[in-house]
Order: sequence, then C-alpha cells, then structure tokens
Amino acid sequence: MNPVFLDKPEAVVLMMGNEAIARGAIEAGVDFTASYPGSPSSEIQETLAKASKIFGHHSEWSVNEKVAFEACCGASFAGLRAMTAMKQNGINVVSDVLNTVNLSGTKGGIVLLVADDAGGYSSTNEMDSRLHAKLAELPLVEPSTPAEAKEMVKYAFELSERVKLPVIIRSVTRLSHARGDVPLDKILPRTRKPQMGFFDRFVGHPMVHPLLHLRFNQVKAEFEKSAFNSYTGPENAETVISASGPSAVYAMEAVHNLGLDDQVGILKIGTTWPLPEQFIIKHLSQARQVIVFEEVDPFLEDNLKVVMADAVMSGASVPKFFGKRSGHIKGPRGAGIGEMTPDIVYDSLANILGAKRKPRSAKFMEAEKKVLEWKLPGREWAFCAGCPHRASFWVMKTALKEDDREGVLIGDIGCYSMGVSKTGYNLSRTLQCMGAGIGFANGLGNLKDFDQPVIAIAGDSTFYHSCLPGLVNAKYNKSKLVFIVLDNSGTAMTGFQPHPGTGKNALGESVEPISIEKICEGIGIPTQVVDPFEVEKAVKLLDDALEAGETRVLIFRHKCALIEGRESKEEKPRVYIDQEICLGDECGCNRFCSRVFACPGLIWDEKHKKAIIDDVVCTRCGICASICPKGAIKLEEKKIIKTMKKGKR
Amino acid sequence: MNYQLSLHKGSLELEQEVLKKELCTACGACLGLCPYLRVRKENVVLLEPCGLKEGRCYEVCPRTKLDFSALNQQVFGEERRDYVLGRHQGLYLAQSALKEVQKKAQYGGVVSGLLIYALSKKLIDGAILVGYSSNYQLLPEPILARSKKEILACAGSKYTSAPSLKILNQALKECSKLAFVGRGCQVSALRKRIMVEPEIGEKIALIIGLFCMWALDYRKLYSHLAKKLDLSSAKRFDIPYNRFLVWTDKKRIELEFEPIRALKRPTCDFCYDFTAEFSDLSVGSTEWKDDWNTLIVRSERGKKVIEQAKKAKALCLKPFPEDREKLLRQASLGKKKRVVNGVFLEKKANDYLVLSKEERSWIENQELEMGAKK
Amino acid sequence: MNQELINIIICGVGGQGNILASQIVASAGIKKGLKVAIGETYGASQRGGSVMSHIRFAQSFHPGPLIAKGDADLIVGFEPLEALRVLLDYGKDSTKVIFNPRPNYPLSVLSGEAKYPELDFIFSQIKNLAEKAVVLEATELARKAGNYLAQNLVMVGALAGSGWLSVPLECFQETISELFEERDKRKLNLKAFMAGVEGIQKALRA
Repeated sequence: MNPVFLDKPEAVVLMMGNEAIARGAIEAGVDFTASYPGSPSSEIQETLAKASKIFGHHSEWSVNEKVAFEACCGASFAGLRAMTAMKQNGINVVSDVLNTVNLSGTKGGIVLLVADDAGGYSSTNEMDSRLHAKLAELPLVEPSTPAEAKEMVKYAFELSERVKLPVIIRSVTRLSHARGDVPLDKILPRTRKPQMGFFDRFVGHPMVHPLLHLRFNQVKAEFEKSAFNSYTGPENAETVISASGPSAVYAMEAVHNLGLDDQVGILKIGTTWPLPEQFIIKHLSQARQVIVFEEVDPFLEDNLKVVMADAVMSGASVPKFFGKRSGHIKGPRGAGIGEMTPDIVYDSLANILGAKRKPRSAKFMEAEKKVLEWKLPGREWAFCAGCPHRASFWVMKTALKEDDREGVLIGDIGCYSMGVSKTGYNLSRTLQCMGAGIGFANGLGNLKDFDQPVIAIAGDSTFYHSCLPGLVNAKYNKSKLVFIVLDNSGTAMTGFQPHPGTGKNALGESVEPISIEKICEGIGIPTQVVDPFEVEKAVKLLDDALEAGETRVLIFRHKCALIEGRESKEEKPRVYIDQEICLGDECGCNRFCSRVFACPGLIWDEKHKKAIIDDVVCTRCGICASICPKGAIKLEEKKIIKTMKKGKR
Repeated sequence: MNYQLSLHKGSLELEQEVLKKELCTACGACLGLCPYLRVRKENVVLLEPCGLKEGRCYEVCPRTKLDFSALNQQVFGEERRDYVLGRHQGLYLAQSALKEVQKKAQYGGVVSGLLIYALSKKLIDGAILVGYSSNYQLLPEPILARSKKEILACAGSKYTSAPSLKILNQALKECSKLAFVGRGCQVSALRKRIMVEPEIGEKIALIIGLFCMWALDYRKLYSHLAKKLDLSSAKRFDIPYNRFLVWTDKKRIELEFEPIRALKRPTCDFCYDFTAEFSDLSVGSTEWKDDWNTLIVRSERGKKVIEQAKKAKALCLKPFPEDREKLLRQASLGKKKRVVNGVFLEKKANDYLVLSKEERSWIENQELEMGAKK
Repeated sequence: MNQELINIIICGVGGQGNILASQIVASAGIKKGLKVAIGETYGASQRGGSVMSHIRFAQSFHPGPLIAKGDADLIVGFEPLEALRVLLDYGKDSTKVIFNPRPNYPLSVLSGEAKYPELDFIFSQIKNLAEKAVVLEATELARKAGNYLAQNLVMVGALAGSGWLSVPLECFQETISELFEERDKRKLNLKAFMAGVEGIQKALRA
C-alpha cells in the first residue's frame, strides 16, 4: 500500500508536495477529480487516480484544463466536493469559465490547484497565476510546505462550501516537487449524494456581481484570523520580512543562519488573496523597512503596499519596501525572473541589511573565476535515444529541403517542442501554447502571395486538447497547410499519462480509443498514416502532401521509445557499428551519423576516431542503421537456440 | 579518401554557385556520393552543408568547370580540332536490324539495339538507362538494365532531366563492364568523375551520348500538362521536331508547342554540347527520316563496337548525306554561338565553360548561314 | 560535518535514476528519525539535461527543500561532468564527493561543437576542490550485479557504506525492500546496493 493512502492518523510519511495535496483531497473526502497533465502538477491527479480504487472518488484525465475544471463545477453544482489540478498555462485556459462561475457561485466545495513553474523548467512561459484570483475576485491561498499544502486543501473545501465560491490554491515547483515530512490525519468518509434541487441554478450574469463582492468580503473577514498567516520575531521590529510560499521557509532559515532572529521579524502570509489587512497593518505599521520574498511576480509586494497606503487614512505610516519592484531582490537574470532560491535570499539580505554569509574559501573563489576558461559543455535537451520525434523531424527536414520552397514548420507543446532546438534540427519556427501551432498555421496558410508551404505539428495529446477547432477552421476556411500529428501513443513529456487515443483511462481501464484519423476524415480532410521510422516513405508522402496545396493531415505514428523500452529492449537486435566498414573521418561524410543525425546513443569515439554505439543509452530502435552511407551501422542477427526435447526416439 | 581534386570547393559552393542559380542540369553526378545531396522530381537539393571544404560533388559537376581542351586530351588523347561536332571518326545514318527493337523504337532504335547486341556478346554486363517511375506520372527513373527486356523497357526519348548518374555507384558495385547512356552534360560529368577516380574508368565499357538541345523541367511540365488533360491516364509523350504529342490510354493528343519553350530548364541555355562531344558514340534523331538515327562514332572502342555490330548484322549503317551534315553543324554552331556570344550574359553562367582562345574566337567569328536557327 | 543538518546533493543526467535514488536516501533517513526534505528538478530537464536532487537531513527542525550555494556536505555524482559542476557551485572545503566516472555526452559534444573535457582534468579538479573524492565504477558494478540500469542503487550503496551519513545500512535495505515488491527486482536492487557498499569500503581502505 502506498504510504500516502494509509488510514493511520499521526503517522508521518515522506511525501512530495503534490502527493500531500492529493492526500489533502482524500482526507477531505473529495468526490470528483479531473485534470490535464502539466508540470509541476501532474502527480496530483496521478496519485488521485491510484487512490480512487481505494477511496472511490471519480478520477479522470480530461482532454484539457477547461473541460476538467468545468467537469468539477458540474460535480460541485450537484453538491459534491471536486478538485482539479493544473500548471500555470492551464489556468489561462480556464480563465473564461473562472470569470463566470465566480458570479454564478458553486455548491459543493471546489478547489482549483494551480502549480506555477517558476523559472519555466518545463514551460514556454513564466507567469504568476495569482493574478487570476485578483481578476476573478476569488480566494487564493499559498502553502509553504507539503504539510501545510495538505492542510490548506482541506481548509479550501470548507471555505468553498461556506462562501459558495471556487477556492484557488497556488503551488510552485519547489513545493509540488519537493518532498518533506507530512503527518497523516483522519480520512473523512464520502457521504454526499449528488443532487441538483429545483433551486440549484448557477447562472453567470453581471447582475450578480454585487453578490460576488459580498462573498469576497466574507472571505476577507475570515482570512484575518487564519492560522496560515503568522508573525515570528521581535515585537515592533524595524525590519520585517514578508514572504509567501516556499520563500517563507528560505527566509526563516536564512534569518536564523545569519543570526538575525532577534532583529528581524518574519510575517508569513498563507492567505494571499484577499490579504488579511488588519493583521498586516498590525505588524507592518511599526516597521521602517519591509523585505518581500515570493515566487515570480511582486504580487504580495504590490498588494502589501496597497494595504499600507490605504492604512494612511487611519494614521499609519508606510515603510520602505524592498523587493522585486525596487530591484533589490533579483536572480541572475533580473527581478521577477526565475525562481526564488536561498541564494537570492542571502544575496538580498546581504545587499539590504549588510548581513553577509561567510565567504567561500580561496580555492572555490579561484575555481569560480577559472570556470569560464574551462568551457564545460552545457546540456541541451535532446530527444531520447530511439525517440520517434527524431525520426519525424528528420523526415520533415528532408522533405522541406526536397520541396525547395523554404517551407515553414509551426510547432506546439510536447516533447516535440524541442523542434526549436538542435535536437529537432532547429525546424520549428514557433512555440507557444497548446494548439497554437495549427492556429498560427491557419493564418499562414491563407496568405495570398505567400509561397512558402506550411507544416503545423502537434502531438496526439495536444490534438485532443486544443487542435480540433483549428483543424475544422482550416478545412472550412480552406487554409493550405499540412497538419502532422506526431502520435507516440501517450502524453509523454509529462509522464506518459493516457489520453483519448491511447485506449486506456486514468484508472488503467481499457476504453475504446478515439481515432485521430477518423476525426480528421470526418472533418473531410485527406488523411494518411505512416511510421516515421520508414524514412523514405514518409518523406515522399510529406512531399506529395506539400505539393497538393490544400489542407492535408499526416499522422506519424510510432510508440515513444521510453514506453517501448520499458516493454522490451533486450529482445530487439543489438545495434552496433562495424569498425571495419566505418571509415571514421576518412569517410568523407563528415560524421553524418553522430553530428547531423545526433542521437545520444551514437557517439564518436575520439580515441579511434570512429563512430560507436553507447550500449547503455541505445534503445535499439535501429533507425540509424539506414543512415550510414557506407552501411557500417548494423543490427546483430539473433542466434536461434535449438532445444532438444527429451522423449522417445 | 584521397581523391584527385583540383577545384578545392565543396557542397556549400555547389549549392551557392549551381543549385541556387538554377544552373543544375540534374545530371545526377553529385547524387549517390554522400547523404547530403538529394533529388526529388529532378530538383537537386543540399540537405545541409556537410562542412567539408572540398569534395567530389563540386569537382564532378558539369557546371563548375568544363574545360573542353582538357577533356578532349583526357578522352581522346589529342587537341580539339572540330569545334562544332567534336572529335569523331565517322558520321552515319544508323538503324537497328533487330525486329523487336524496330517495333519499340522511336526512331532508328540504335541505342537499344546496340546495347542488346553488346550485352549478348558480353561486351557489357549492364547499362544505366532511363525508364519511367511507377510512383509519379511521366517522371523518368534511372534503371540499371541487365537484360534485353530491361533495355527494351527503357526505349524511347525522355524529355525531362532524369539524373541517371545517381545510380552510378550502385551500378559499379554490381557491374564490371558498365555502359552509360546520357545527355552531353552527363557524359562530361562522368568523364570528370573518371578523372577524379581513375579506377572507375576501368569498369566503364561504353559511353553513349544523346543529342540534346534542351531538357524540360519536370515540375513545370507537370503543372502545365495537368491543366490540359487528366494526367492519371497519360502514358508517354513525344516531342518530334516542333510538335508536342501526348499518348493516353485512349488516344493521342497534340498540344501547342510554343508554351513548351517556357518549360525548359534555364541551364540548358548555357549548354555548349549539343552532340555529347566526349562520348564513345553519340546518337540522335535525324529530323528527316523517322526510322533512322544520326550516329557519330568518336573513340576507338566506340568504333570497335559499331564494326562488330555491323558485321553481325545487328546494325545497319548508311553514309550521312552532306547536306544533312551541314544542317547538323548549323544547329550545333547556333547553340554554341548563343552561349559564347553571351546572349545570356546577365546570368554570367558561362563562367563555367573553359575554351581555348582559338576555339572561342573561332566560334565567335564563324558566320551562321541564312535560315539557320539563331 | 554539522550534526544538526546534513546537506546531500545527488546529481547526474536526466534518465539516470537519481530521483529514485534520492527517494531511497531520504526514506532511509526518516526511518532513522531524521527530519527530511528533498528538492528536485523534474520535467523537461529530464530529457538529457542536467538534474540535481537536494536532500537535507535535520535533527530538530524542518528544513526547506533547497541547499544554498557552498553548502553541500556530500555530493553523489552519477556523471563526472555533473559532479564537477555541482561541486563548483555547492562545494565547500569539507565537501566529500563520490562519483561514477562514465561520461554521458551532451548533444553539443556529439555534434562536434563542444569538447567534453579530458577525464583526467575533471578528476583532478574534483580532487582539488573536495576534501575527499572517491571514484566508483557504478555502471560496471551494476552490470555485474545483473543490470547496468541499477547503477543508481550502487551509488546509494556507496553513500550508505561510506560512513559519512549516520544512517545505518538496515534503514536503507528496509526502504529498498519496501519499494520493490517484485521479488526479482528486489533481489537485484539489494545486490546492486551491496555492491556499492562494498565498493566504497574497498576504495576508502585503499
């Protein structure tokens, strides 16, 4: 039994922040959960899916975040407790309904967990989701530790039911993907029966706006007394640090390590929107300077200033604010860019208060200076060895060159996003949000006098998420584009979650797969399926499609190497390079295999100046065997072992 | 690899100076040497520069440097004398005597007939010819023919570029007495290749050049024809003299000839070699008698094959009429003058052509007769 | 070593199993009664990028998930270049390093644009900066134990057997047994773990 699901109140378990959040929902007796994968939030629904067999709540991977949240609203309208989890881009997708359901109100407790990828480790943007709470006038809380996250989830359900509004919980990478000790609590039984009574109506309308304000003020009053906000340190401290999220933990550690416990107060905020104004005024009105640490935008910082500026009406004075706005708190790339780290906290405190850490010893300082000379190579992301996307990009690169009209490739979100970089031969010209690829291509494909052919790509999961409107539009408005679906049978980048095309649901049950080609054909677009590992065939099909000059769909279908690899590497023939045939640098191909094709499993042996296969990395997909112009890359023939049967002769 | 390279340029320059300037003749010599150069529907592209400073691709291209005097020395061991038709020992009307060939032949069937004869006598063990693609309508496809049937299947002129040299390397793996049939640009490219890798020359038994005034661009031709008829039923086409004929399943259609001129590959305007002057034998239509070919015998080994075939009664020869020779020379001279006099100077493409001072001034000054094509 | 708090970094290239390794180390610490936090990079960085797990063991307070620069006590490197990188940023005079010497080539090296530094250079820099540096052929040891993929367990074994962490071997072994329910997997991983323990003890005696 996964310790996250134990029914053992008081036990302490090491958990990821996301697991703690899922645990919080379970302890709150959640009835309905639905999400779309997105780093750093994916593990929440993964955990809830595993848990649903035990606790009986509904658990699904929805096709996109809007549907997921709306489905949760549906459950809430029937009086059930529902939760959805998403990354920051997801709340953008949800924002339309967030700004109507705030007016209609909800019934059963509904929690929207948004996990911001601060620093954008796996995102095409970096943004602060907390602004959505301000926009929609909804309550938002920010946990600082996994244990607190669990508590906040439970609280959020109760609050949501009291004020009849969705409650937003904002997490960040350093919370969602951090692990810490979390004490377990009792698990509430799920006793709610779904029902929509005659008076259960949820209509969004501007007329209802004053009701939203009423509810919002109710939340404000409640937050004043919340235990998620705290002040530690000396009374009437001249310097107060205010922080939310994991930044609060960094600040507490730093203050302690610098020996400033007696001088600096720490105002930790957990109920970030609306702010507990009286509580804040109480602790900041005596301060001379306030230093604010938080993740991404100076949201807390700006709103604290508003609170203090308003407080001037009743005689308070406004302290100096040091933060991202003032430029005192910034990472290596500037203020408000990248995630908050203990190093930035230390640097800021040194800068503002003059409180410095012990410097590093001479040999490290020297090494820091020398390191640029050493030219240590960085690590770009690359398609895994055997990845079908490498084959697909190779096909697209070749086909576009052969087509010879400077065709453009419009990218989208997934592992194949890497098409913008060297591993995808720098083919993708654009990379933005889900489904934007075919959207942009619609425009390019309808420009008179634009002779460059257009290819739009999307993965299988992205296809269901948000490509359908773009595809219908292309056919309807006659946009000349070739839409290639890179179907590797899973939502790979985020961890192989299933989707409507895979034939499996979140619980691992088999379901009828929804065929991509049938959808495209149903729209009336000529569609073909090909395995990108059959390079020459795929190149030809793509060139023909480009020449056709109309809306076309090609599906490049081959399973992700990591999924396949898990299934059976040892059974495939080993790939090796015949060192007699490989001519190395004498070949005249200028390392076509390792340099141009660039699979991490195919490396250049500097000692012998020839190509070799790295057995540990190679997944035996065999595609490189077709590229070597001399035929030096081979697949080992399997020896057949005959077994003798004992018996009568 | 130590190739004897003299031009010291590589794929990047090939792309800049030839491919991107529409000078490529789609001869196919640069294809099949490495994975970076590819062709689709007779359009040659560089996948990406290979990064090497020099290579065979640039060296063997017929549009990088074609030194007529040097080639003449290499192939025939002597200086250039006949500037109009190139070095030759005989000029004939010729015709294949084989019935099967006559049935399939477009004109005299000399190429097919000669190859079939040579194959049967084991003078050659394979021939690089051009057939039709099974994937794309009317697209020629290089074929390594190793039987009479395969040779006959390739009979008939093709009017688009057909980069048949792309299968040379593969053919050399299978054959040790290879025959090659191609246009002048291809013959020159093959000779350049032999200069770079002399050992290849030992495996090539016979080079037959075809007369060629211009080749059509396949893609332009295709879109032009697609507007006129349903191409899925087109079987073949023919451009006899100044007419343009297309055969479909059901009938023969004649199309206007003039628009065809616009479908020419631009590079053909810079070609100096109408009669494939560096082949062993050159063959063309007579533009006069439909069942005979014009045959130019150039080299010793070319002569030998012709004599053997004639003796074996596989080939019929007749002397070439003087007045017809005059017309032939006019046609060739007209093309050379257009190139040398720089009618197309704005494209500066005739930089590739290296002629001796004597040859160049002779061509420039020689008068064309009245009525000859300008 | 500050007994109140120990900072460990496990680093390598995406796909080498350092997340599982850090989970095992942390869970073993919890079994000993320590308060534990882990900070990790997930997601796209796993596709061939550099990855790090920060593991923090504390006696009495709940530590945050990240270690500040210059604050690592122990560094376990699954790859030599990554071990050096992390040591440069997070090392201090008393840092001890265990690393697997098998290089993993980045794309820029494969394409010929960048050069992978000479292994001798990497080794000498690590030895220069760390108080103690031990090379452990984890991939080879894992292969001998049955599958090179278990190299991360070998490294966990090395950490456990080094004596630099006051967490007994049993805590690790219990954790591994709980994690792998399938008998063959459990056997293999325990074997790989012990190979690491023995490996480092041999190296430290030398």
